[in-house]
Amino acid sequence: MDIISGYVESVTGLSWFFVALTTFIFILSAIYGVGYIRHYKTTSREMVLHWSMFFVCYLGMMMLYSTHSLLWFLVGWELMALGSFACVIFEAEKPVVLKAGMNYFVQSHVGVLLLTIAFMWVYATTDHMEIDIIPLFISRLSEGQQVTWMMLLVAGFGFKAGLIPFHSWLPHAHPAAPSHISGAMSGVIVKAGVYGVIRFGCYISEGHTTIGSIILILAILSALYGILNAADGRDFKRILAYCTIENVGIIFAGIGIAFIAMGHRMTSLAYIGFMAALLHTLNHAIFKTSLFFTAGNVYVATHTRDIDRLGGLIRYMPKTAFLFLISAIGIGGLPPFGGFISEIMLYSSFLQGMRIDYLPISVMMALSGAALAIVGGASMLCFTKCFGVMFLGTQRDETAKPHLIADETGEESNMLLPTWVLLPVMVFIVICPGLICNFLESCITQLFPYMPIDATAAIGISDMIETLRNISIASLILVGIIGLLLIWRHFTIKRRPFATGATWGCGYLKSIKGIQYTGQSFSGSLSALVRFVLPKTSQYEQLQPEEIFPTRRSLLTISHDAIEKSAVAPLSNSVVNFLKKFQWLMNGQLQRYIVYGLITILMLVIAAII
Amino acid sequence: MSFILILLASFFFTGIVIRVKSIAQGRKGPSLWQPMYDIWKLLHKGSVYSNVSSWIFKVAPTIYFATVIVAMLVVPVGLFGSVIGFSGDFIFFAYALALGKFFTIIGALDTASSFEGMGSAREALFSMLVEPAFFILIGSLGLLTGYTSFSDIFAAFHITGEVSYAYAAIAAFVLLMICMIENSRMPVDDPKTHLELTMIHEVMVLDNSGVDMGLIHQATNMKFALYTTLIAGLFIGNVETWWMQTILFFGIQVISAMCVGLIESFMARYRMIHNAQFILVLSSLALLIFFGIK
Repeated sequence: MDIISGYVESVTGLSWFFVALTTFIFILSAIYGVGYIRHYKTTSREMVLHWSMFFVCYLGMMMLYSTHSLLWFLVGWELMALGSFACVIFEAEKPVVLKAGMNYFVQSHVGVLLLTIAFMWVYATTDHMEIDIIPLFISRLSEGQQVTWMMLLVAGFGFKAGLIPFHSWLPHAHPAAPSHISGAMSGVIVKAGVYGVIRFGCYISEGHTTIGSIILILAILSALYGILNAADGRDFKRILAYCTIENVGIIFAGIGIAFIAMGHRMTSLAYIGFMAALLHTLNHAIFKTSLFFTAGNVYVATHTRDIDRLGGLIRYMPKTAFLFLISAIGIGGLPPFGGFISEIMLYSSFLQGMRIDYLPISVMMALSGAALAIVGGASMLCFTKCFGVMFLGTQRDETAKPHLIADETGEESNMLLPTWVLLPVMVFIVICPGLICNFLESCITQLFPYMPIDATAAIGISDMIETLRNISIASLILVGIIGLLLIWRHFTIKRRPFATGATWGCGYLKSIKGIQYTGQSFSGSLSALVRFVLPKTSQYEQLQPEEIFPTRRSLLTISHDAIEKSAVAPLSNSVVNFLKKFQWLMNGQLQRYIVYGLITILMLVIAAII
Repeated sequence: MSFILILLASFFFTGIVIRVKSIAQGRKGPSLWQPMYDIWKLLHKGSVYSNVSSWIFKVAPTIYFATVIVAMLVVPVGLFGSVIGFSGDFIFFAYALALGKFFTIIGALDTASSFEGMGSAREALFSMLVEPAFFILIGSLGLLTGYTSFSDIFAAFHITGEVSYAYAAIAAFVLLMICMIENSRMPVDDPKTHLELTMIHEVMVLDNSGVDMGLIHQATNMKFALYTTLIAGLFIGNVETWWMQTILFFGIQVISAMCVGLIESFMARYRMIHNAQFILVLSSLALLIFFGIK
């Protein structure tokens, strides 16, 4: 049983980080889930299955974070995939949910397949399945082989993390799953991919620049693609799912920079890259979970995920609106919240990377920085749209009005509690970024013993931490000034007369409900500008010339995921078509199957004789 | 001190713009202090709130004003230095302003007005497009000087010699254009044409009144002065004495304000659909500086 003896021998600092984060988020989503799931009509058997699978998923994650054996890592990975699959298809009676679940199931297994190939390669070369054997394995590979091995892992882990082009399960699975599962999936399960890339990437000894460049390009494309799709979206859980792709892109950008820096022997930049990636992992986990929880409250209250049917919810659900707003600002990377701190680390590393004396890399860094700036702007567009259309203005569709009974508005205390708990954590990250960064630094030193912090690197890192301290001071000043001005305004306004009236319609006096801006019109110019990544098809009836008085007609616009439509779907279709050629083998007759069995046994016997 | 200088500049900036425009049109025009007088009057007026709006609408102008104040704190004027400066502060500058925009946008959406929705959609889109130009521009200047804070960049900018004036010229143009876009002025937007479907910023504040409106106007003035301070920073770095710098600073503010006024008088607004291209051209100009430095 030497496999088991390798289990939980020593847990690295990085694992502690992920274990703690996962446990924290899983506890919160369990608390949230208890309140959330009451709104479904379920039997107790389904509940038992759901919660036990939830636990299996958690167990799998603990296993893969703490194990020392590649085999157990795969077992843990598989448990996580199966457990989360079962949690996603909670409403399996709906065909859409089941389809999304199967999509997730198949794609995560393609990922497992790639990981298995990579790990079998280790086994075939060294006859061992321990993680500690990887340095020996790496020493036997050429540079090209190392890059190939790492790419296998990036693709395998990319399927879980949602890096493009391996992301296409994500926008389906997140809306289909119950909100507490979406929260946990987006917050921590997706992050297992990040863990994997850092955990196994640390053994690479050559070809860092190539690996780093590939990761950085994929990451930046993911971030751009994710946020543009999110900004164009209409289903709020789908928007959040695409936003996850964006943030995974940002996290991987940090990893990519770190690898490039290692290739150029810039230790401090490598540290800052990894620290930015891990800090953003933490930030994203907190903000995205909180967003999914508050979005879940909205779904429970209104039974719709279409933002264009909502509006004015801030009056019915003030607490949810407040928490959603805070999380939206945080995830958009705006000060004074933690998202800004990890983004500024990334910007600083791009600025340092621009100084690398190799033109292609330097240009790539400058362009990536510019792309990150666009991503920041687009996420502002995305979340002003999300918050503005869902919570502000007036109700767009009366049928989606929240139930006015207090118990049914999704404002129950146990559905708000997890988000309230996340609030102090957000504040903590802003106040003491240095503390967290010191911890992350020690995690990274442990993983990269051959990359010690020398004098120059120490200066670089302490400069960065100094900057972060300044940022938190500046953020506090920002909050202070906002607070002071609000108090000033409060007392000034008190002394002035005020009146209320209808919104000024520029002379239009009827109800403005129907002419309010919708989410679609808000992002309309953006999606027209980037039509090539946001393909859309519309279905409508042409107006005939003889129709003088046209009747009521409708227009249906469907937006597609460009990559899914043009790359993933044709590929999977061709695989299915190929497999269909063997359909005659399986015709359902028992006799046939017995014959197959006999033939197999016969062949085995013959093979044994030979 | 930098803070006070920028604040002073903001008081007369819009006045000059309006004066230049009226002279170009052959009118005498209002006093230079008319905009400030208007703001003073607004601050003493009562307010009207829409009955669909919530607390978001009420806090949004104040937060917008506060973010501009904070952005002013990180910008230096020559030797005076900024109130809070640190490496990477230009990113804080951009993001603090972005927070202000976030609140202006949701404040506009809060009124449920279709006009304000349109204005906010455009504001969000154009500020997203202008973001990379600013990053590449200041990032390249950072590359040239080896620093990443406004104070250090401007102080070290002239060490590279005569060629820095070439960079400064392009950078000044890009910054002026960013300033016009951020403040929704002419070639991308026309603040005069109330109630036409062309406006970005002005239409977002249709429902604001009283103190809130005053804050928004003053924030816009300060934003103007803020960006022109950045332009000034490119040129006054190698002047030794503080009084000379102060004179130059105000000189550049006046010249920029006159430029803005002249552009507004003699240029037509672009079609909304072409704005995106125009804004992206700025990013390519910024990239030009990057390659020049590299």
